[in-house]
Amino acid sequence: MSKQLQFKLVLLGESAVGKSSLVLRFVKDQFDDYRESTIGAAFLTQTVTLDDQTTVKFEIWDTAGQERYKSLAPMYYRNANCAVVVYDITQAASLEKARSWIRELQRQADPSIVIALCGNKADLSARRQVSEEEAKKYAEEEGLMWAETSAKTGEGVQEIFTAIAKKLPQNAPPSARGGRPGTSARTGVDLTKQATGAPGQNEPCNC
Amino acid sequence: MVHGSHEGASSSASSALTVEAPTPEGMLVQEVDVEVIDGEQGTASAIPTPRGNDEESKQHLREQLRRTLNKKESSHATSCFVQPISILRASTSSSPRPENRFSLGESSSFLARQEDEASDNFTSTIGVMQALVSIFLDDGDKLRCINAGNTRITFLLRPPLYYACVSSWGEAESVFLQNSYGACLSGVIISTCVDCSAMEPMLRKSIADVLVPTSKIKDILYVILIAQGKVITLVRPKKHSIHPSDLHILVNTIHSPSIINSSAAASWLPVCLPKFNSAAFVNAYVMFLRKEDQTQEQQSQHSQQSPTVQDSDAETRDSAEQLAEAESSHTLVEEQPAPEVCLVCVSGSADFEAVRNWCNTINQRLMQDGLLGALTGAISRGETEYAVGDLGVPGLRHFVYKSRSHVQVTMPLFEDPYDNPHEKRRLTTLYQTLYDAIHAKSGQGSTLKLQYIRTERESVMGWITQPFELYLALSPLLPKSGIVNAANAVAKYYRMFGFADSDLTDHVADVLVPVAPVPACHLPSTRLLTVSRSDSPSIMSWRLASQALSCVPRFCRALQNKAALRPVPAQLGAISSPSEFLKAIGRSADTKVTAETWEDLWEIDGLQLKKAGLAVRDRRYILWSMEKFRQGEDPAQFAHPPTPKKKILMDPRFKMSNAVFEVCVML
Repeated sequence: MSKQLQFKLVLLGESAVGKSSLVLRFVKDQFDDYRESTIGAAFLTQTVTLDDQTTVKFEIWDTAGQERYKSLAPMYYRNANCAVVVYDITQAASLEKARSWIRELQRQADPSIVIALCGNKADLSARRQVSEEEAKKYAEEEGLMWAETSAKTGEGVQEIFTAIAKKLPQNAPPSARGGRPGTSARTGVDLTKQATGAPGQNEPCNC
Repeated sequence: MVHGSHEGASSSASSALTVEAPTPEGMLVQEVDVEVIDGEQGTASAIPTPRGNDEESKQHLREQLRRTLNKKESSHATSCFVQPISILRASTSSSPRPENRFSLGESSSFLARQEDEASDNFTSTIGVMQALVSIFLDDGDKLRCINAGNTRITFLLRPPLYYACVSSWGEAESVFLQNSYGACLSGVIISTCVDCSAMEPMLRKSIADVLVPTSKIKDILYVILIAQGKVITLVRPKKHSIHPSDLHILVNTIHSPSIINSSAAASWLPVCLPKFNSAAFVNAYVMFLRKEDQTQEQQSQHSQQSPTVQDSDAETRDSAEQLAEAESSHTLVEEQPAPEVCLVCVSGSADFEAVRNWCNTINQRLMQDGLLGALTGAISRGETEYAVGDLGVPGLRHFVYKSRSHVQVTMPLFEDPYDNPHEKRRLTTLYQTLYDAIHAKSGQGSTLKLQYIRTERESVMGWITQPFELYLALSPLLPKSGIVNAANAVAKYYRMFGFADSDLTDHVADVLVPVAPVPACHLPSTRLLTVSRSDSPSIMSWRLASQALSCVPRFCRALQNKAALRPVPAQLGAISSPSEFLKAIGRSADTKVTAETWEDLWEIDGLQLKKAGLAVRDRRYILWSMEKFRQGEDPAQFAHPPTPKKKILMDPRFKMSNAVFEVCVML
């Protein structure tokens, strides 16, 4: 009888490093040359089957990388079992951003979270700004998984997710399911409280 | 020739400029970028600008621009003003639709635009608009609109956003401004309310029942089912309803390319619904309900290297569809068929899991009950649309009916002669003109109850009453009585069948709108479609309309038919004589008014009552009761004793501040 496990995975990283493309390649084995930037967060699921017939179902949060969505990130990684932090090998600054995400995860997320550092756009190695050695060294220092991927060619995508699936605790489905509940209060809005007064009195926020 | 006017201090602080172009052809500029630079240089060279002093140079620029706009003679410097307009024209003419909308961020960042065409001259267009706006803004003045030939460029400044709208349709200014807020199919009438699909009421009701959240789910604000950009049904808390502009934000957000092209099973969007709460975010869970297909059966056996989608909530589309989408995502966004049905759950809490589970439950139930299939079937068979002919009203070509209490709108398909884009646009613009006049949106002295316009090709009429607004397009040959009949027939139809609420638990499902009209021959009685004398519910409005000052008097006078105004209603149950009616309405009216026969009673008007020496209050009440009775209501339902005089226990200071507030609003 095969085991069925379920884990929450969150993708983090700077805007335009290819988080959505990476997950599209993983989930659908597709690639779009042109993608709109993500709004809020997209939710996808994908299942991988390991050698021992264990199926691991990933519930994936593909988050928006733009800075203005930054404050919402804790909501996504708080209950995550694993995180994929993506950088763009052609942009040195994106690795810096990845480092700051990793620091934040190490501080704020569940201590048992599995973090993978992922250098995307490996097909553009001609324009490389981040060397493999540099990223690998950093990943080893921090105890992270590391790989270079290309969502465009598909190189390394399946492998990194499978590696994560293997590394996740195989015997702890209960904790993997729920995470810490009851964390909704902070970002909640009181629905019973509606803006009162005449319509003219309230300035719309224009957002 | 360029001349402009800066409005005086007596009016609002805004600028309306008029630029008359010599010829439209002369306005088009081919090499936009080059010319803009020329224009800017022209301005700069015309003014001796001291470098390094930003404030002073701005001052100079403003003065120069004002001088330019006030000049009657064409000069070198005018080119700087004409050219920005020509750029806008150029970008307008290159787009398939004649209207372009732009939103500018105050911090010089361009935010959004209606059209998706990518063009390099766009940046310069934005730059020019920004410059124009900022020049006037620095002066504490607002740029409102620029008229250039047939083109009108309207600005709406709501910091931090600027809206600019370019059009050659000839709409009124207010229409522009409203349009800028939301993408709308047919102009402002729709943008101010909810556009809904026609549908079989039982199906809609069944779907709504599924959407109503159980008490276990906390903080759910709205659950909305959307197809084809229109609302199928909306579940909301009983205590308040969604504001149409909030709903527009939601619908537009969902149809933005990032969401609709996304391959994700669902999206979780933080959105601000300003009319609900402008100071906070709510979370919208957006999920496309895709038709169930066979891939689920094949899900179980997979090797490590070929994982597949396994979730029932995940995107379960067949591969052909996936391919189609993958291909079409490279082409124009417009060409991509929208996913058929979209479920949106707006929640105040950040508890994603609870919302997701709930939405999955909805999805499963919709599928199991076959409701989703019935819905998509109805959409693909075109049953969510209807033709004006289905109402069987002679001479009626098109209409837009808006239920004001539901804030919802319905209209039939645009059919011949309005089935081509040009005619459709012309009609829409006529509707917008009516809307503008009725609501006095462009600074008219007063609102109207009714406006009638006859063009060579059709007559259109806008009519507003307490429960609804109606915009009709009719044959120009139709006599006035025909117009009245048509208006009443449509009004009657929707009052009886169209819009209905159903109350369910804590949340109310707006069993929205338009029931697709049943073809006339299927109606139980054709009486519905003719105006019998008791079928004139809003005849009062006609009279008011004819009294409205700025209404086209020629037409309205003819409508003031006394017999039609005060029809004799049928006797209702126990009420068969004048005294019985007067007793039934109470307030001892039977002692104040006497009428010999039933017909005599219904001849009574205010003047007669006045002569009989009745007080204003009594006269009003009796006439009101009579009108209610004419509308078929039971006196037992509407009769009520006089309300006691209000005792005002208000702090005088509060009254004062209230008055001040009103003055502020007026300003």
